[in-house]
Amino acid sequence: MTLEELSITDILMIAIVAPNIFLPWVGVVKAAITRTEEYTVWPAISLYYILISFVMVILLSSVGIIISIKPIIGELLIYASTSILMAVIAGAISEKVRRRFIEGLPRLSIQPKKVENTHVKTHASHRYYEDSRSKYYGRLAEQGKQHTLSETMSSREASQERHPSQNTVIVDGQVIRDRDYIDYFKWCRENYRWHRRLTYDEFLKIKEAVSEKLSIRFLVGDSGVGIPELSILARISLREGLRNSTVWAEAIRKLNKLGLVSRNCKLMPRGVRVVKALKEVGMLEKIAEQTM
Amino acid sequence: MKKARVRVGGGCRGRLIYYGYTVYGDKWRWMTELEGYGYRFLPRRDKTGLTPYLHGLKSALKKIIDEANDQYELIYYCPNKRLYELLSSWGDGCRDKMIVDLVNEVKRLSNNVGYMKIVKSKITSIEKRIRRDAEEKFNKDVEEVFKESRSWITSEDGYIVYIFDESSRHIPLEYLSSIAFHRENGAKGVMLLRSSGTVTRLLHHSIEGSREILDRLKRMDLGFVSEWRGTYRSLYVTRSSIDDVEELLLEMAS
Repeated sequence: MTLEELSITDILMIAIVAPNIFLPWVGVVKAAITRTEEYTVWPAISLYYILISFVMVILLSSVGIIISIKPIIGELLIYASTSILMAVIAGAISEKVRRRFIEGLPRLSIQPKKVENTHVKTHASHRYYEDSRSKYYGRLAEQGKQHTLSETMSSREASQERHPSQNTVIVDGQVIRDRDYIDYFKWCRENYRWHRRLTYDEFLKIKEAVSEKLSIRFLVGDSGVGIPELSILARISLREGLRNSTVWAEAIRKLNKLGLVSRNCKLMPRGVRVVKALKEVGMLEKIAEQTM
Repeated sequence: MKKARVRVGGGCRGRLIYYGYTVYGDKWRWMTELEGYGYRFLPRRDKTGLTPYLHGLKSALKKIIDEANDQYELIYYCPNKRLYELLSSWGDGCRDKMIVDLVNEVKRLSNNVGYMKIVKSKITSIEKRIRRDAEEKFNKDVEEVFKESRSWITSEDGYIVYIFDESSRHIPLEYLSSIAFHRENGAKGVMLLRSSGTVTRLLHHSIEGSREILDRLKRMDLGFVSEWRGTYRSLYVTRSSIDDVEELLLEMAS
């Protein structure tokens, strides 16, 4: 068979299907070789291409009466299907590859361009926290390395993306430089990627309410209390069963050390005051949802 | 006249009685079609054990009147010989006013329904099932009351403070305190707070019989009304709101 014998539809079909031979592998290889902190768009592109191309093939095949499918297209389809199947097996074997495939394609238009135009929000009263960050953040960074991170962003997270400098986060078009919020953001990405995150205003509200009731500093060092601990405290107050409490053992130990809960996970007077303060600002349920 | 059969089961624990009934017959084909459960706390302990049956029968008759328009010939399978005699003789020979009143009420309701035939019977699996279900439903309700409440502990191995809302008024604080005690092993005692209209009641239940907290509270609380002190249990009544009393307790504990 020569190329002259192919019709325009055949060539179109070949053009659509052929990239499926190598594109999944580009995605797999890119996903495998890219460092955890870095973002690669190839897995998402290949995934979407597979979906789009096969939808196109089905559509074109449905008008197959008009198009006379040449044996070469059939063969090509077999190769492409085999290749995709193998790519799927590779994805099933590697969790990292699989996660990168299912994370979805971000909206690329809002990336660096918007960063330049966004309003930079800093709160003078919280600059203190930006300065005192040596030990705690070092420890956080270590924890971060231990986790299997995936730094790609979903379409849902598009408006909450990380600035390249790593010292700011962009939430709803605002660049936030508050270290506490950045670490909360990081914690969310590591542990609760699909949860509804607290906005910066909500975060500040919680921070103020807690700092007012507790003499300790919020989110700072080993002696501080952070969003995970507060979330556990809120869940204890709401009497939600902490399934698999060993996961929360560290947070409960910290709360116990600070005199917020007893050894048996009962609220203590100090904890009651914090819970009441959170309830007053209407954040109790929201904060409880953070570890659910 | 349509026919229906009534089965009643129940039990008692101190002042608490729980009961249930099921009615089946011409209108109600299935046993579970017309059934109901209930419980109540009597003003005093029932020595005869007849009140759960009488209350169950009363509830069943009330339900039949609500559900059916026609007159019915009821057959009540009475599992207790003494109850059978009481119902047959309209409470004759019984000096307990509470029981006599209940028998009269049952008789009045049965006359409204139509005719109630009382048949001697042994306790069957149906009555056992009703009793078990009634007890389970009561326990579930108590569990729900505790779920709705807020609680905190004064210190490690200290007193546990429970704050109940008004929806739990059908269960006395004394009963809730005994349940709370069983739930919280290792605690020094429990304090139960509940607001009822203008006053707030605090039931203090301690295994040591210590009333130090109540003494301190009495000194700090401006709305103090009255108190009753027992060996282990004490009741404190105040006009202060439940939040104010909780705040005072928090202040004392911290």
